Amino acid sequence: MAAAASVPTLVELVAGANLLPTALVRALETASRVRDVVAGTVLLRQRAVVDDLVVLVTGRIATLVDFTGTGDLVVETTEQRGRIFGWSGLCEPGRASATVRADADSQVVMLPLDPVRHGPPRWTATLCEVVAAGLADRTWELQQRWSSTVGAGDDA
Amino acid sequence: MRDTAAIRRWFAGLALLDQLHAADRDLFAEHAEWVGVGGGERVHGTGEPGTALWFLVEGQIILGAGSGAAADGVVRRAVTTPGYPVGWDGMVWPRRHRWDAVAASPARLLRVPRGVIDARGARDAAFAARFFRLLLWLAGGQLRGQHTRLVTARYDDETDAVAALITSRADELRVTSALHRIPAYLRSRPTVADAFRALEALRDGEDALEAQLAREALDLLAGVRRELRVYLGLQRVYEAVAGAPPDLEAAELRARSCRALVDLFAHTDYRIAGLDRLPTATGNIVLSNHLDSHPTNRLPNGFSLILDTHFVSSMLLYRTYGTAPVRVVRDSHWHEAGHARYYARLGYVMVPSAEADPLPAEGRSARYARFLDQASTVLHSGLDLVICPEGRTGPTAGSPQRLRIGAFALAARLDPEPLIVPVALAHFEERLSRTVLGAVVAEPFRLSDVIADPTDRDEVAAFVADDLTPRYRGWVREAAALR
Repeated sequence: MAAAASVPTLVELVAGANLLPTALVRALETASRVRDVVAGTVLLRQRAVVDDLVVLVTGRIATLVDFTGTGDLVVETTEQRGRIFGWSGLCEPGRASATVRADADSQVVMLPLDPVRHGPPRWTATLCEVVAAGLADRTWELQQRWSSTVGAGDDA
Repeated sequence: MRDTAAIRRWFAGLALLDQLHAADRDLFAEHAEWVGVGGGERVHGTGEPGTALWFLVEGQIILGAGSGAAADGVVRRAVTTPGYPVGWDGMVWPRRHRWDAVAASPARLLRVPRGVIDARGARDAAFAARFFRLLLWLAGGQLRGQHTRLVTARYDDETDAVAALITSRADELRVTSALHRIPAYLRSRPTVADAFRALEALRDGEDALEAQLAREALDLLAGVRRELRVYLGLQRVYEAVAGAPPDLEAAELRARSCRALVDLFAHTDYRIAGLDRLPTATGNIVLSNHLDSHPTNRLPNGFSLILDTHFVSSMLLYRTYGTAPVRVVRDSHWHEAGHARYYARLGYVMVPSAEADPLPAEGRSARYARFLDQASTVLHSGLDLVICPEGRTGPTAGSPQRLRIGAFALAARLDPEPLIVPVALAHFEERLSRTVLGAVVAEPFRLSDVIADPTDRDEVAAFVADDLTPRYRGWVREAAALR
């Protein structure tokens, strides 16, 4: 991943990644793939097995949840560089809880989970902490976004 | 007092912590300290360092921005699940809390210091992996819940929101899952309590998906639970009266009813202004505008306890004077057995219902004479008489509608002339979990102070229509603005 000049390192890209052991960062970066995807590309499919974490570098990512009887509804979009998707790959049963789709032409980094699954538990612990922190930030941002639209009477 | 064995058993029974080993839970139990927080008190605040996990034992914690505010399910969500680790957001990088955690009501929690968890994690990487995987699972569940709520919040009704939540995962649930029955339970007031029992059983059950959906549903339903308490309170009020021993005096029944109502309104959010304007003694005509009742307050026998006048009786008059007032109530219709059973016991002054049972002229005169006689007796005995001069209910906006002059004609005929105390009410027609009930006591007056000849019906009617009614609407607007 660091080999591509325009792509930052994992530590530069992901908030809190400096907590990760150096060996883990090295293992993730060695196995990572940079993907340039066009708008509409599905990166994770809800209920499908998650093999990679997806990190947004540039572009826009939409999160969609399938509501039975209604279909996929967009519940979140972000252009936040360093946002991680695919958290459920680190938890049982390892299947995506939502569909993640490029909402614009985007660049993402795919981080395979295999090195973590077969690595020491400390790797799992630190990666889970960093990814959980990202999820907490996303939740907080959704709250803020909702909070600012409720008063305006806009149907967010 | 600390009972480690009991705390250990409690931690061992938490389905939410299934991912942890028994030894991990024992670690929490050994170092947990009881923490009690009062309603409105903060457990932790935004930006503060994460110094501990607080496992919720009982009560309700609101997570979100703006301490002390009510949960709306999206910006501020309610947590009621026993064992939920409040403060997990401060345990992950950058180890500061992202939101406030505030008790919505008195709550008890078990606090485990961060140092204990960090120390074990430093020695035992496998523990650290289990612990942070649990936090990741909680974080993912919270984000997923947030996504769901962003969709379900579009529903005006929590029942619809829960139905949508369950429907959204219907294809993953067992066809025999009790979750499928929850929306039907919620749609009928008498079975709402069954819905909560079923959801709590599912939340604590073996099926992870059912447990997750039950937790989300219970959080969505925090307001409904409050309404349920009100509804059960309504049933208690009704039974306290309709089911009382036949030899119990009406005055004692009215007092019992008021005490039950005071308990009931303790579960609501209300504001009262102008209590200091109430006269120093009872024996007054207390006017109230009359508001619709929300359909969800209808009892199983079809009877709706209209909450506005009960609020005046209990929260304003009984709490001030310690004496329950007498109300003027319309006759029960032939199909209103519940209404009849309730009001027949209370010794209220009954008047004909103009809409449903129009009386011939001579019947009207006889009933009016009876009304004057009974109402005068009440006032002369020193009790307050509560009257809704509109004679019908309506919404807060535009209330009161047309005020009839019967109450004023009564005042004009009495010697000594009683004080008239206008009370303006607002929002009683709304869902109790979503509103702030408002009441304003306006300045009392004697009819002879505001018109030259109180016995002149035309003069009284003109005063009521042209002077009092517009001012009354202003007081109602004041009551509606109390927040």
